[in-house]
Amino acid sequence: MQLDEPQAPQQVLQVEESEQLDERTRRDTMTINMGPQHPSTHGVLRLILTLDGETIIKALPDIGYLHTGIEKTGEGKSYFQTLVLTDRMDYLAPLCNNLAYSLAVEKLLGVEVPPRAQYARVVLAELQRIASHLVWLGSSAIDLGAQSVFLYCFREREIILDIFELCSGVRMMTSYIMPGGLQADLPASFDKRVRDFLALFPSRLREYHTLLTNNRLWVDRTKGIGKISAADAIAYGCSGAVLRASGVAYDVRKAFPYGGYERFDFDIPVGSNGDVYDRYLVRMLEMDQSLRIIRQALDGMPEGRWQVDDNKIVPPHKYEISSNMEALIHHFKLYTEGYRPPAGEVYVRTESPKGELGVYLASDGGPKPYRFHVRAPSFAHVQALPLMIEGALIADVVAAIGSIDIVLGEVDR
Amino acid sequence: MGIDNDTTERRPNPWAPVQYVTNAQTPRAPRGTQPPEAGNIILTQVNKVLDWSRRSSLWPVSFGLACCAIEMMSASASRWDISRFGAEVFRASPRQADLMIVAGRLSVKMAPVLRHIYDQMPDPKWVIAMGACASCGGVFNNYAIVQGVDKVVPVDIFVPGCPPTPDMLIYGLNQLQEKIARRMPSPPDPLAVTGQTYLGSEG
Amino acid sequence: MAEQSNAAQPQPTAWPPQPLALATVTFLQERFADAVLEVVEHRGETTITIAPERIADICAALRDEPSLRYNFLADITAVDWLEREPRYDVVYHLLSLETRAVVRLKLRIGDEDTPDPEAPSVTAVWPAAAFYEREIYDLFGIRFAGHPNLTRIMLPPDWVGHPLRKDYPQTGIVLPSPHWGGQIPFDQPLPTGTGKQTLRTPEGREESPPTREPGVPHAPGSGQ
Repeated sequence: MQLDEPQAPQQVLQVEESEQLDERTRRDTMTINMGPQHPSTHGVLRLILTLDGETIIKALPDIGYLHTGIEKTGEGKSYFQTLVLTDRMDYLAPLCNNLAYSLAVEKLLGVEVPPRAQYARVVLAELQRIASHLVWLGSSAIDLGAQSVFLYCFREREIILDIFELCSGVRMMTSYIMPGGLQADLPASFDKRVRDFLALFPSRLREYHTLLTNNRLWVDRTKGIGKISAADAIAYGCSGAVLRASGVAYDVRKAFPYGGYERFDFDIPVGSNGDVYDRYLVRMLEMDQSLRIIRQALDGMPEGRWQVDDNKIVPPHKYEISSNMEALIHHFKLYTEGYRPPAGEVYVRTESPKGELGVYLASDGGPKPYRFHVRAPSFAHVQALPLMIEGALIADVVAAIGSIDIVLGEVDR
Repeated sequence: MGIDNDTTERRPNPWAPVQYVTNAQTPRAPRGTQPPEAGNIILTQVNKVLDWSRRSSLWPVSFGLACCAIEMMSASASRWDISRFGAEVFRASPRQADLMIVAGRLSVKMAPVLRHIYDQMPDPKWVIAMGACASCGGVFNNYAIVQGVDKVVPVDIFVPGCPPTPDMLIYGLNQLQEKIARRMPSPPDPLAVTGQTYLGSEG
Repeated sequence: MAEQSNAAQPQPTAWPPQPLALATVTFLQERFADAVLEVVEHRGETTITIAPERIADICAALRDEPSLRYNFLADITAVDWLEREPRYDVVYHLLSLETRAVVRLKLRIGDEDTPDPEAPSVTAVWPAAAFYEREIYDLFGIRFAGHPNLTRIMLPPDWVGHPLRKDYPQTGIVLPSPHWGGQIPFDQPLPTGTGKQTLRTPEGREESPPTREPGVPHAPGSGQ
């Protein structure tokens, strides 16, 4: 850790009285403040670390520096408008957030989207998973000193973002998956662009493996670091790659298939040690499996509608609005008031790139979600972070934070 | 500056803006006016060289807050390559930086930290507000988000978009370089205007 | 853009209830007959409303029951039904990684006399509950008895009010100037005037009376 790193306003924090420390240790401990502005905390996470020499004896995560009030804002907007807020929670995987929210609204409405929309959603969500893992790989590698990996990963991510831009016109915050289907049909060149990517990416993935997997420096910095046992990971609510690296084969796509995932054949990579290196390998292998799913979904992509056939949920076409009175009324009603799902509550769990992303929606029968809550996987992972780093050296904190792949926009919401 | 901030005598206006300095009020050097050192030929030339070197090597402090930070990382990666304009050296320490790219939404809890980092940067320094949230609060008009970082630090360039694409950020950087070349001053410090202070702000 | 065909829509899915959730209902009705207040099925999700004071026992029993094994706490959240009495729902989403059972538990707490209601904490059952309960305390003002460190988590420690309550305005809040944003050392008293919020009304800026002791923050770790 550099001495000249920016320090947020210091906060005096004594070691608690309950700590079982001998007199000498107590005198020698030092409290340092890591974050909220720190290049390696992947956002505005703040950690209050109590050190004995270079060993961390206590870590206290402090979050909320990106608290955005998304849940409160969503309760003041219609179901249709709240969709754009979900993009901005886990900003590395906006389409996965869209998918989770759309599934929740569809469950509340009691509709199911046509098969073409389901297949397209699977392709988009898996592309987004690869894009998110690429950012994770690049940024966690640059934290451990491997700058070239960062440049390579962002090179491949641009290809995926170009595909999203082709579909929706936006690189990141697409809102392309919406309640009731997709915003528009997949463009004509979508299939070719994705297949080009499928042909290109495996060789690039091998390149990353060559750079890191057997690299002595990488292995020494990651193996045996930031360990968490399976029992702890379950007790602390970890999910996704963090849980699977500890040896628990829990993937929502397999355990509770949603949105058509039951149609596809893929494996769940599972680690055994629960350390940084296993989490790295699990995510790398997940990208392989995502490619498998994308290939199957592209091959089986059906023709037909990409939205539900109900203009009370999805807006009618522009050409219909100018010719059809009923379509005009639907358009007006949808954009001014929105639809009113029946009263009730649903909780939909999906597998986002970070872990189990749940959306809880409570409806009172009105046009706005009465309660919109997101179960963010990173929120639980931040909570489990002290387990991984207490007792470790301070240099390993960066490796552990990188490996749990937190996104503070999702933690703080 | 001609900004009337004294509302003690009158009945308080409930709709008075929280931000007292608008962008329209930003003092700008009119075209053709000379910088103050214009009388001294040698110093003028030295200043030109200084400005040229300043605008050609803007070192940003890495202040990534939210979504826009990812696009800022993209801008520094190989495809967009912000180093063509001399601004690729993202410094972790504000002491080594002269540009702050505020990338993302600023929460009320984070605002003092932003100000603290800004105060640690040596003069001359510039601020780019990247994205809708940093510029005006964006879609998040709620209790938690500061409605524009120009309430906390003086902002030189606003880059619109949610998030702005990397080329938009690079265009904003070019505009800032143009601004430095023309010796346009930064807007007044919002905290100095409103008489507020944050914990840890110097002066 | 391809023309949308008029192919037949798939039938809306029927949402069958999960068998293990029904087994959970049966289990709770046998073991905690007096605590189960209501069972609701909606879209295949089972919601069991239980008596608030029994939540910790029930959660421990659900976790340890060999046929159910709810070992994973997915989420805790709350809902503010402003007009209703009792006012708040506390919602627990449980999941079993072994048997793949899911169930939702619900508490109803809070009435006119207790604007800041209290529920038992389940941190002893699942350590994961600590952050979720802190979040609910921060945003709803519901306290959890037995929580090791019940402090604000999202908002600065000197914040007044709980934003996710329905009577809290979404916007229009003028923060006091300067707002310190929580950068006050935990062991120092707050300067006078901090933590007061003013609401914009058509008549003028009106200070809302503080609903509680102006936030004297808890020292971290001293919550017990």
